[in-house]
Amino acid sequence: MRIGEVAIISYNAKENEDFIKSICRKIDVKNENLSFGRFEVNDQLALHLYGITIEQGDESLSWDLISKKTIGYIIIFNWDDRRIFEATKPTIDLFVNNFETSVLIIGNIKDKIDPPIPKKFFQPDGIPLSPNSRFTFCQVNNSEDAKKAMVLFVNMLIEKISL
Amino acid sequence: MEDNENVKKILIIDNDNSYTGPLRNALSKKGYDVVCWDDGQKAIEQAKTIEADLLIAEVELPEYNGHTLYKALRARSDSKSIPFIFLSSQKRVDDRIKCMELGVDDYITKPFYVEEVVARVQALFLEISQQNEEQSKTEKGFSGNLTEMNLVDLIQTLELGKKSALLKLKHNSTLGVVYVMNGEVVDSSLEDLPPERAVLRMFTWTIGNFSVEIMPVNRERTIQRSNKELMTIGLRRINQWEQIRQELPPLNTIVTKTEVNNYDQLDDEEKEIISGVNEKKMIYEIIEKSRFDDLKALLIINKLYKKGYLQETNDNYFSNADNYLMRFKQNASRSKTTKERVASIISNVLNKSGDENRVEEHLSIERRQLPDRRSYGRRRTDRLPESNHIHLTKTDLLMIRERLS
Repeated sequence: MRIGEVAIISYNAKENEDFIKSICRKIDVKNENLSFGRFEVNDQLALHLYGITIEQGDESLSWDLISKKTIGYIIIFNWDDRRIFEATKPTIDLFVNNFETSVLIIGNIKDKIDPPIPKKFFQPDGIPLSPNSRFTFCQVNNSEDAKKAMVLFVNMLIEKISL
Repeated sequence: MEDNENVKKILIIDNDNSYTGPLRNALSKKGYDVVCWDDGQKAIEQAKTIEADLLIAEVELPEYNGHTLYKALRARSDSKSIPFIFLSSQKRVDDRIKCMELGVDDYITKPFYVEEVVARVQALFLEISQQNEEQSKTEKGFSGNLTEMNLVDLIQTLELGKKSALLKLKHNSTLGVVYVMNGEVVDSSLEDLPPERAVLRMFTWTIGNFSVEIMPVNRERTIQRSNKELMTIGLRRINQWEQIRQELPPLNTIVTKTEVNNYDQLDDEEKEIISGVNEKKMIYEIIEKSRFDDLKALLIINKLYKKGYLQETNDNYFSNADNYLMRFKQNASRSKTTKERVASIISNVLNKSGDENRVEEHLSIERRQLPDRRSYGRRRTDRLPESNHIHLTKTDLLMIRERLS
């Protein structure tokens, strides 16, 4: 059995659960800081999605060890709440600048229409861009939209292999 | 539009016109020369004469099996490098894995979006041309930074491969050339230094760039020492050089004489060096201008520095950032690897004659690592880099993507 493990990270546990549910249909295991869902491709291949709810200061977690295990990170933040973005940014910086692992950054939106992106959103004050990171909008509780984001993430991995 | 000679020819083998028609049109619009055959048997019979840059074939047709065609083409030396894409209506994962494991370049399930197939074809051609370019660069030579690979490493690499090459090293604004014939250093040039001394000086260069041009070298031998002797001397000198250098500021530091002028206390060699510092000079300039061997000159400068006859000038204030960066780079490269690298190089050089198997093994690993579409037909790598610790193959990821879609 081949398994790809993906860490879904957000300040809001519900966003993690919504995203996992949109991909895997159900949450298999859930507790205060962790939710888990399994996306089976066939009886020999599956993705394991771990929703990790973070709090301020969690940048000091052993992410380096987790990075060795995961095929990449998906970081979700509420697009409408600037404070949440500010709080998430150190985690994004940490992943993008320190690990080889692919990082998909998702701005969670309420409906499927992509809002305009303010200039300040990207460097130097906003999201750091690198070959390993990408940003997308997504309505995480919408299965179709979440799967599109997941396809984007898988494409990042395929591109990385093809390099 | 490209010249006719450069137009890529694509052969599609499928008897279902509802797929081949639109696909041919779309690919033709992109400038490809597309030919469609509906007879798979014909393709197998004509496998010897097929001339195409890409073959797209249905796996299951009434009279033939795509696997047989694929194997027939791969068995022939003139067609084994043709990239191959399978089309199939089979959705079973096992079938797809079987095809991918054969070594095909891509696998597309029907029904498909024509645009997607065109995009995949373009991506495949791009990948092939990049690989060919990379391979041709590798065959002609390579370049890099002396911090990562110094002259000892370069000579050892060429010696292992018994290559003839021109090694060009650039340090500050000085350019040195080392001529290597069948893996042996035969000559070198650096300013007006004698060839052997030039090589010994270049051994100490840890900052700068190099380029290696693999090419036939036909040059009279002016360096009589073998590589083994040269590198043994070179490595000993590097170690001594490093030890002395660590007691001095970076070699691009500008120094000048101090107020101390009781030169009677100095020996003749020290007097000669200090008399050459009539104005502000960088340390490496003093070394290069002196008639002494570099190591000797560095040693004398160190003595003068310690005795208080030389001092740094204020001019260094402006280049402190650069110095810091350079020092950091030197330390970074030195702290972790030099000891290990020197140890491994010494053991490799000294034990080479008694350890041919290891060298052969090293070479065979290198050969295995070379991208070779002609032998394998598959993409160069099917796994993400080790640093990422991902244990899924590209086939896995393609299957995940399809399941998500």
